[in-house]
Amino acid sequence: MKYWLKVCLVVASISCGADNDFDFSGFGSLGYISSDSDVYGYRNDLSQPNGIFENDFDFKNTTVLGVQMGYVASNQFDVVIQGVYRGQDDFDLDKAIAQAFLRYDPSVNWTARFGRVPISLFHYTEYRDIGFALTWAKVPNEVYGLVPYRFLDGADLTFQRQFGSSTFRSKIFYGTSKTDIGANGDVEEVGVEQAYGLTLELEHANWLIETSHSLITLENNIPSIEQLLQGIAFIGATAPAAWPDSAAFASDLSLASKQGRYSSISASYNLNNWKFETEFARVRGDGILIRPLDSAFASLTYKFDDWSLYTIVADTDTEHYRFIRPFTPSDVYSDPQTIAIVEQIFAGIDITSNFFSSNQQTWSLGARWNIGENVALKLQYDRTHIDEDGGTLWVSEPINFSAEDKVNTLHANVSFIF
Amino acid sequence: MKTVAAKFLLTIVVWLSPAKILADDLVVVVNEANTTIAMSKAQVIDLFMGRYVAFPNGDKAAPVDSNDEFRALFYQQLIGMSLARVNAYWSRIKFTGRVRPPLMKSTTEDVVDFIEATSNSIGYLPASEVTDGMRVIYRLQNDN
Repeated sequence: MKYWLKVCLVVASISCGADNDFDFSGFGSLGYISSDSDVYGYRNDLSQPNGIFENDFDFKNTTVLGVQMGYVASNQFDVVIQGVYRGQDDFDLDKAIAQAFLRYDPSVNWTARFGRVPISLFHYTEYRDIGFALTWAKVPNEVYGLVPYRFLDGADLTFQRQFGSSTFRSKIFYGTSKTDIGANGDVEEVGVEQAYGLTLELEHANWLIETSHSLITLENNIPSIEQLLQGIAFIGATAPAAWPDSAAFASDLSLASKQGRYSSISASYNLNNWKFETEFARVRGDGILIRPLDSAFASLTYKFDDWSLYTIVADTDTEHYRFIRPFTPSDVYSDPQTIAIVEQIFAGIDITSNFFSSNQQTWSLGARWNIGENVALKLQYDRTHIDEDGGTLWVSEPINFSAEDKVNTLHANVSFIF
Repeated sequence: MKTVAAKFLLTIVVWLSPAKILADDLVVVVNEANTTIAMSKAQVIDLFMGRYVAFPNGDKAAPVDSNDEFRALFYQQLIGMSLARVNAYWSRIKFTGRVRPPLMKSTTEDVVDFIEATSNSIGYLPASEVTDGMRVIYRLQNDN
């Protein structure tokens, strides 16, 4: 476990004896999802290895429990530790800790946080798991499904200032991170060597406008890609003339040290009982796997009494990679077993090179009912049109299933804070 | 019987009198040592909603909330939001570690003690609970 995490835990445990300076609170969601597809299984994002298919009865995919401890050491320093269970695979303390930071708050204009802090890739990235804070049953998968990162081990610095009735905020952040990626029923961990970025936010009257730009350098390959790279190296060694640029291709396919650039611009506008929100996100990257991706959503909410009725339209569009086989295995190899292995390697490249390719559109209709000050009930219907080869956000059965399809999902959950 | 009825009527009249209603208005108060004379509604909203937790002169503020019957009334009058919506809003800010939420006190008496003891504090309470150790800088009834 990282040294700073131990320090924060020790500080928090010592602080448990304090009175007003110590705060214990939490949040959670308990939900049920129903789907009508037997080939595309629903999941919230790429970190979840299992999908929900037709007739499945599953609470794990939407169940979240978070607890937060805060200790105010002085007017300028405080410590926050937050643990979140959201169905992580191999759940341990390191995976449970969503936040553990020391905050230095020297003036109203400047705030610095050191430790494990939420990562601000897109507008909702920081609080996607806090169901009670969301009007919707979940954040739109089209924008957030391919971004499973939750935290940053490092630091961020926020500057804010008021200009008349407008509040301007900017934040820079730097650190490392990691996330689970669910692939083929397994969970594999991807490390982030370094991530840094900037967010700018302007709040004026009923408007909130935010833009964020981040650069992420990936640390390692997941094991399944590593196997493919070994296979390509085998071809390069046994048939160098048939695929002379195999080494360059392998380098392009590798995730290690590849950079992804994440940008988004979002806006929300409140007018009496109505709220309009929209966000456009863009991902660009080096190599084959981080495909050029554009995604967006728009949401309209009508609020009255304890109710919110909303509709969302969301779209994600990724440039598909077409792998052109450099040769026909039977033309180069004579051993049937080797031919079969090379065919498998080519098939693996076909599938893996589009692992992050998502092409789909969802229309949602939902309602939130605040049944108490701290409890909300939500119901959301989604109709998703998955384009051919665009179902990355789903768990498919069979694994390589890639046909166009339409899926209806129903989300019902209770979210709460305490 | 007439005397009882007259007393009852008098009680109702006194209870409904403008003076009584004024006395029970919610007011926003600061410690008497604070140099802030008055704040606009927008400034009070920014401060209690975690947007800009400072006084007009730029000094950091320590807002205090009261977990009693006045809390719902305060936020309804200030920003027109129910407590469920206020809590949803604050859950986003609090659980992302963005801003420290207002200190929560159980009773109005606790709020009074905190305001009197803390130089950069700001809180709300019924006008009838204002003491010599604090100053009224905003009256909610003015805008409603």
